Amino acid sequence: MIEFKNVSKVYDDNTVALKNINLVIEKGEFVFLVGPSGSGKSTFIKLIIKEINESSGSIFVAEKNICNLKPGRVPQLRRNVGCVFQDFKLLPDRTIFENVAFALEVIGRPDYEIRIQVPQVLKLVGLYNKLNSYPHQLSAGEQQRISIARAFVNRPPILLADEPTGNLDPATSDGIMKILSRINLIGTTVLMATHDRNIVNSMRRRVVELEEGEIIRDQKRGVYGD
Amino acid sequence: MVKPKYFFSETFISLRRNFFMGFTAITTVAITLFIVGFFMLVVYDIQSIIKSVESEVELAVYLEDDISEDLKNFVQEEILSWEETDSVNYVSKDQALERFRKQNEGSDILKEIEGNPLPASFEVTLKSPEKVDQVALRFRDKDGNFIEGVNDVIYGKEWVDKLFSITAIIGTIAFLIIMVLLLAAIVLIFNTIRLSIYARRKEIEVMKLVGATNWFVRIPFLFEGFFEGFSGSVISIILLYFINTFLLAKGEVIIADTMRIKDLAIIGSGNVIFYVYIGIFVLGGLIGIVSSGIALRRYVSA
Repeated sequence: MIEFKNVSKVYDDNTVALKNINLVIEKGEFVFLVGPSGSGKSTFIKLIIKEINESSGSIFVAEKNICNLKPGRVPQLRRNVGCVFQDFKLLPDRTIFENVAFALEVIGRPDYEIRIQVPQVLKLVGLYNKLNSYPHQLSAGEQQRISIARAFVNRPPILLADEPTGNLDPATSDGIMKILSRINLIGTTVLMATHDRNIVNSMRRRVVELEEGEIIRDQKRGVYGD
Repeated sequence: MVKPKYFFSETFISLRRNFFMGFTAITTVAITLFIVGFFMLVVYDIQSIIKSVESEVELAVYLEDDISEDLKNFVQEEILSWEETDSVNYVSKDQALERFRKQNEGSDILKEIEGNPLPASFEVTLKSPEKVDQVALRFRDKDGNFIEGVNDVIYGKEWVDKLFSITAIIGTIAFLIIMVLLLAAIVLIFNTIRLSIYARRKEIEVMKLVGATNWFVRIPFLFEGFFEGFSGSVISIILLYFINTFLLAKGEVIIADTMRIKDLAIIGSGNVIFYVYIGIFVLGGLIGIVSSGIALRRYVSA
């Protein structure tokens, strides 16, 4: 589903973020990307949604090489890759329903589809009753669940999560992980960057560890490491 | 795929959500364009007054008393054939005396006059008054003497020179002020709209994140910019309309009555006010849409 071939990323200020990365993530996998801050996790995720461009190598998403993707085709790529961030990125002046519906509206989906899909995905994340609330009326954990709902509402085959539990307490984090597992169970490939040791250890999924831009470990049913 | 309804409803929903920024942008457009429009009308009227003063510049060509009828006719034909000439009016010796008597009625000077010492003359008005110097020179030969039959040519040289240098200065200053005002208006409106887009960069970020195409992101903002420019210009036209009706037009009536000037911005037949309104209208919408477009470039590239 996602493949990196000899990918390197050097930023304009000459910081080397990723060095010669080779990695294959299969369809339906759940992969943790771990490593200390500055190890290249965020760069890895930004490359997949083409928020930044690689310096060398090639990246395949859904069997397509995205390196020479024309700027006009980038939105199409992003519709296939849902994204969840540490800071939720919800729009404060819109209700929960509007926030989630926004993701469908801006890709031009018809109203009847929005009326069906949004309540469905809100049920999936367990917040159907908060339909008309505003983000500030929700707890941080609830806001993150809304942001997952928004990323998943158009059923993308891939879901990326960059430190989705970074701002949450352990109990709330467990709730988030349950939702991500559920999404993974219905066939979605999930890649989650984190440095939350407890979560990684309790999930027992594939673990890819980055350090200073290089993969130092790739383990099936792995743990966070020592 | 494309839903026009979405763009319209999105435009108005977002105007409601971002009421304060939209209100600021509309007010900015309204006030700046109002000032530009008002100033343009005032400058137009000042130019009209100057033009009418200029058009009063005329040459008096005094003729020798013994000029033959043929020569007199020849000189008149000649003057009429010049492209600068607007009109030629012959004033005979008798008419000149009659005029002099009227102007000096009751004065002792009339008693002193014996016979008719006043010369006959041609009063020449020009289409291009600023060429009065060149025209006056045509009544002299190569050595600088007056041509046969002409005794003197008078046009108040110093006064005319001063008049034209003053009008040139006023014209340049007025043009500069309008340009500066216009530029200030454009920069101010542009910045306000850019600020309102900056305030919503998060929204744009999310739109791009979930895969909205660039045009999908842009169009509501362009609509909004246009709507703000358009509403602002309508408000400034309404303001101008009231100022014109209750202030400028009254002033113009007084100017028209006392100075006999016809070509005025509001009460004149030239429909200048109409063009100013149209100009403001087009400018408002255009600035709105162009500002949004430029401001968006920073957030919507790829």
